[in-house]
Amino acid sequence: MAKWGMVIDLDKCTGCQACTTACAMENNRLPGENWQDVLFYHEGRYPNVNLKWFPRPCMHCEHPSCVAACPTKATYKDPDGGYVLIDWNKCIGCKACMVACPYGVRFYTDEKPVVQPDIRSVFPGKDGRSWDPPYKGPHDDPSRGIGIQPKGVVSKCTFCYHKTSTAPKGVADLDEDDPKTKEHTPACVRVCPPKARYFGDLDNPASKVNKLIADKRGVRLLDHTGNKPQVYYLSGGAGAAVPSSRETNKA
Amino acid sequence: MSAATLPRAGSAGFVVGIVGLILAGGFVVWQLTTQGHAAYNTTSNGLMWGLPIVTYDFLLMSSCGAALTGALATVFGLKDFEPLARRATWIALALLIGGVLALFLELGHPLRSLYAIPLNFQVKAPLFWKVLGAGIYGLCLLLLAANWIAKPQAPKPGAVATVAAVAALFVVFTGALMFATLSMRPFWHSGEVPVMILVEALLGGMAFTLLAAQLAGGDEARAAGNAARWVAVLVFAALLFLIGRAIVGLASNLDGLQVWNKVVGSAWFWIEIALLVVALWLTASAGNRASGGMQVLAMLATIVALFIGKYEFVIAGQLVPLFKGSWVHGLIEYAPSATEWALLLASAFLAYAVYAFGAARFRFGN
Repeated sequence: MAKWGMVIDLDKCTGCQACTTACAMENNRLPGENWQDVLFYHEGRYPNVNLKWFPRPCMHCEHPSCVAACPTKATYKDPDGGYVLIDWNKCIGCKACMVACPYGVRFYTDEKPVVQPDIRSVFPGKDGRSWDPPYKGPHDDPSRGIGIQPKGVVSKCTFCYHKTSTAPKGVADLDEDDPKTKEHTPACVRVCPPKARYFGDLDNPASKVNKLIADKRGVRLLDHTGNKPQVYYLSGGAGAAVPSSRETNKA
Repeated sequence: MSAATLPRAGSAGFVVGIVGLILAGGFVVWQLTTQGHAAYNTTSNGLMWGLPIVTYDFLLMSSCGAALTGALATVFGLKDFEPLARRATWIALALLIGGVLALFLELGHPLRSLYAIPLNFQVKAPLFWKVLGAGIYGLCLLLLAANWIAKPQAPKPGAVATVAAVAALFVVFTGALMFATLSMRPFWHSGEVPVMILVEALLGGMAFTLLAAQLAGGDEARAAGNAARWVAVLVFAALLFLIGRAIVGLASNLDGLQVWNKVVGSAWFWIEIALLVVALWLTASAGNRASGGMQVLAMLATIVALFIGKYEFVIAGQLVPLFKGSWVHGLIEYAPSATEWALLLASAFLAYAVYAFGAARFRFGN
């Protein structure tokens, strides 16, 4: 039984947002509601300004605070694969999971649009779905939060469950360069031009993700919250970095 | 106000409540029908719980406080509260119904919540336990209304009143846990938060009860004057929590507590403190406690201050954006929409209509 995890090498990430675009296409996201976002931060003041960027998917935590906050088990941890998923048939739209997520990776569709114009009015939804895009992925599994998001529920990154869960048993890594695993590789990993993303089994000592975490001292975000993310970041300090301070920090 | 005029006043209040509910609630329903939840100013960019949740939480916590105020007489036998117990329990029911309206018009799937929460047994979630407790609590209030409030000659309720009080405490603490357990939000994540919320709940419920008793006049008004010293103690405790938390928040370097700068920089924070100080002054001195007008003023000041405090607590806890980067640079900006204000009014009018219905139909005093 695999425990899928992701490693993102911040020294390689160029902030191109190909991952964001690929995720949006793969998962029928509304513009601006990016399950896989690249966040840009400005630090300092002119002339000493530093632009930083930070790719941020759902962390699929080992001990997810969102699961403990959800009163209906709509958000759950799948023991087979270690995914954190949402059952849209159980979600009541209370948004407790959004409040409880330290990483801001969850979205509630029934709000003012993040990006104007509101594309939902151009492609109005059918059968309770939030919209009806002209192109739709073939996968539809509301019990795992896959497909066109219904109204009144919360959504998030699934680690491309529809692709990764069908990977050959026992495989250590899902790599776009390996013909056997190419179609099972998450969309954001597959399209990353500088190959800054790696996806593999954290429970398999032979996996590349484990070697990278060990060799390059992978870190997890906000470890003090106890969530224990399954997404690790590598940073030697040459490129993008885990944000250490923000405008909202005290001086 | 004489006892004979009470039912007439209650009937007029019921009509006012229903008309207000139809107007405000109609506007909310119209907005939700045409715009969906986009009629609210909440966003996935970090401000997920807005004024509707503030309204719901304020009314539910005050309801529990009113039930506990009634329990001071029915369960603990405090003489001060005996003439007030029936009114307090009915107010608890009215506030609960008003709060549920605000929640149901905020949830994405309110009808689904009725079966999805109790049937899925997510025992890790404070909200599961809160809803379970609230169900038992609401049932107990209905039983008390049918078997005790509606029957003036009925003896003091025993087991049901005790279960209602325990359930009210349970709802307050599990509701507080939803905030206090979130380690990623230091504004909420604190051991004293459940105690603070209990103090504010009891104070809110007591203030609503004493306000209504003062307006009813007679023996109840005299009892309310005596009981106001309890309000003074609770107001003092609420002030300590508020000022203590603000000082710690301002002094701390912890990322997330910087929101206290915004809270303390707001005029509303100082209005809240001023109102609590006024309420403390009006309820602490025996002379003021004997004055009905002063007590009405004190209870109104308390209720408004507590609502401001609840708004600060729920909203400020979300103002520091968590990993939103380019989408949100600084603290999140939020102001409730017209629909959210209308929902507050609709919930208040519904609670008032239910209360006025009871005031017209039942005899609350001994």
